[in-house]
Amino acid sequence: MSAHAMESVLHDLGVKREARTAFGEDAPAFLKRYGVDAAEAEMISSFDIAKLLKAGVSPLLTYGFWMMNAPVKTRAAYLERSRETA
Amino acid sequence: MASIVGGFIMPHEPGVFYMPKEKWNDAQKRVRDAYEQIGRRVGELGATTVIVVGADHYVLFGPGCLPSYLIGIGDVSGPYERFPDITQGNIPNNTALALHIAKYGRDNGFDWAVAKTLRVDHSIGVPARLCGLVNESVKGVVPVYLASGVEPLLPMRRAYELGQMIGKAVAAWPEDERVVVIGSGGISHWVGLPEMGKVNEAFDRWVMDCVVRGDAEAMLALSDAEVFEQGGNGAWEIRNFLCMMGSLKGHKGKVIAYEQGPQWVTGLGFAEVFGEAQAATA
Repeated sequence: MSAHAMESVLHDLGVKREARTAFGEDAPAFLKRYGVDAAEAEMISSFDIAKLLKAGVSPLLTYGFWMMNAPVKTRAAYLERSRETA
Repeated sequence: MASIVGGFIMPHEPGVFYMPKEKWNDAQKRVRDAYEQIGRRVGELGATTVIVVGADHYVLFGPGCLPSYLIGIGDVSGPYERFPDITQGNIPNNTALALHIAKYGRDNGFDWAVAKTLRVDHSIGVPARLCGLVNESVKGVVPVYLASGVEPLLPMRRAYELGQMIGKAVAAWPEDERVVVIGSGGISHWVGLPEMGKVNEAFDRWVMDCVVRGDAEAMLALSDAEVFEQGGNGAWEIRNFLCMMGSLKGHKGKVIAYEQGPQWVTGLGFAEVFGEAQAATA
């Protein structure tokens, strides 16, 4: 698919409580609704911020996604993940 | 007859507002004082309407529809974020003037997107609450969102031209109205990028200098890539300043305050641009 589809996922996970609940309960089933491919689904499920940014997803969305959904919702943890190299 | 009696730039960094009063340090107090100063100036200018030009942060508008520029012509509320000492709920709008600006623009080459209901975020809600609605003279806040945060961006020159159009629309409004225009945005900041937390104070001060000299062309000479290089993706919000500057084309002003520090992610610049009456005596 494209960064656009991932942006759609991340936007919903930022602004819709029901999306966050569904993602938390069964991420693969939730992500299937958006038509993202396996590699993209993995980037999102694993909160791989560095890869998401490299794929062209808006940093405004990756940050909001992290702060609303990640296990550790801090800026420091986000930055650490965003600075990882493959 | 309506006129634009002044313009301001100010930041909307959420970190400024999340902090409860008992935890404010001296820098935080200076920042909050700058908002209070602008609030008082808006009152001294006898403003009846405040137009706030802000940026969506990819929250209000999603991938399904990203407006280049949008004006709220109806019910407005916000900010949707909860801050310790900032009221939420209804924000009175000058719906007649807002609709006039939308129609004037569409008659003159500016195809506004319009919102009949709009829940604003901190970029418009905070300036509205802290600097506009604190004054009894202010009867309405007109929200304007530019594509200044999410790509594809509104070209900076188009933002400046939009401001000029707002100025002409206000001048063509037959009612007695004293309008203040606020350009709401941070200066250098790298939102959501690995560099987040970095600030380029030299660039910030250069931008503020351009604002108070009324020198839009110096800013317009920069490409988006050059702005990014100097100030990160957050600095693209300077097109909100340019929109205000367009509404008071060539007018000079003065710096009110500048702060940056580890508790925030952006350079925080505050300045006033003088309206006709003050420009004549400045």
